[in-house]
Amino acid sequence: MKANCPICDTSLKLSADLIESEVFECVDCHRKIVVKSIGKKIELEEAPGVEEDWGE
Amino acid sequence: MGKNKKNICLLHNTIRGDEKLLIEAAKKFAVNLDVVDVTDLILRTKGQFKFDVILDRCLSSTKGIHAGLFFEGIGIPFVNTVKVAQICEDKFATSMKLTEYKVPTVSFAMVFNVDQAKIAIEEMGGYPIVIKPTVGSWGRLVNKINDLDALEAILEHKDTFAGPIHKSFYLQKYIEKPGRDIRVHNINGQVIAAIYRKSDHWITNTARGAQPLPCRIDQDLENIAKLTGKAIGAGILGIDVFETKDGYLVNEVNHKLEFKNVQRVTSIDVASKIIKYCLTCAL
Ligand SMILES: Nc1ncnc2c1ncn2[C@@H]1O[C@H](COP(=O)(O)OP(=O)(O)O)[C@@H](O)[C@H]1O
Ligand SMILES: [Mg+2]
Ligand SMILES: [Zn+2]
Repeated sequence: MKANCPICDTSLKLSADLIESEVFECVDCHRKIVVKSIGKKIELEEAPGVEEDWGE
Repeated sequence: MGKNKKNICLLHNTIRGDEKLLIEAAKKFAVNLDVVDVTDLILRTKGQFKFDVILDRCLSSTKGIHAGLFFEGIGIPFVNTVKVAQICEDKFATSMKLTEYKVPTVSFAMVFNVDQAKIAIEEMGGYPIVIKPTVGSWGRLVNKINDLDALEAILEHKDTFAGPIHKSFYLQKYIEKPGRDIRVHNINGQVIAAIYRKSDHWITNTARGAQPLPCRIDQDLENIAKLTGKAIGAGILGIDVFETKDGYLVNEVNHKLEFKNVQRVTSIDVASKIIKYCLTCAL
């Protein structure tokens, strides 16, 4: 699977087991990217920043 | 959906390594696992939900608790229960439960202004002390205060710039640790795995770069983890423990385990144990 980073536009080779809502780091700009949807076309977005109530 | 298979809902707002381990583990059981983003839901009592149990993996504690209030209210078991989540979410609530059940824990105080803070710190044996938000995680805003100047600075900043939650000052005695603390997992009363979290920094969250290492569960650790489970209630618990010369002390209890490091360094299949526990809670 291939898609471009929504931030730095680098062409990314995505692993085949990627699923919706999964977060990964762009190899180039190192920003966190979230998979919005996987269909015919993969939609990626910058992942939201950490909120105060996030965590364990 | 299979006929006799239980429907487990994995409720999340982001899929991390931990959730992927849960999705993999569920394949080993005769279950249907629905992976649902909490932000896609409309929590309305007229809604139709066909889940037998819900596993709360929401990164957002607030959204998780709201979802829990809803699903428990319409009769669908929610793991962890809202009761457990509300105790763990708030470090002061946790401290009070641990106190009630006489679980050895770090000496603490709650104060609402700087003058009371000074008195409490004196009573607790002086500096350094640790201040931390009652709600929060990953070591964020966990601060060590070494003297009165720092105390006044931090409290003034919180009073001036922070939200109301941060104006309840939760203080703890600073505990000298041997370069690490312990994370021990208690699932439904069973103490199943533990790791050391080793760091050069006094804050030893793995989210902050501490190194996870396997930890043998000795009798005292098992006992304090079991007692903690009794205090908090049955569920999936991640207990932070300090080693001191006078024995173990519980620091805090987490209700949404990030277990991937534990699973990796101990080879214990925590994900499967979580799925199994959900099945025991299912309708
Ligand atoms: N009272 C304390 N004394 C010594 N170290 C502490 C104390 N409180 C917290 N820490 C360190 O900071 C880390 C994070 O604090 P913790 O209370 O677990 O909050 P969080 O919810 O952010 O994990 C702990 O794992 C521990 O290493
Ligand atoms: Mg902690
Ligand atoms: Zn990029």
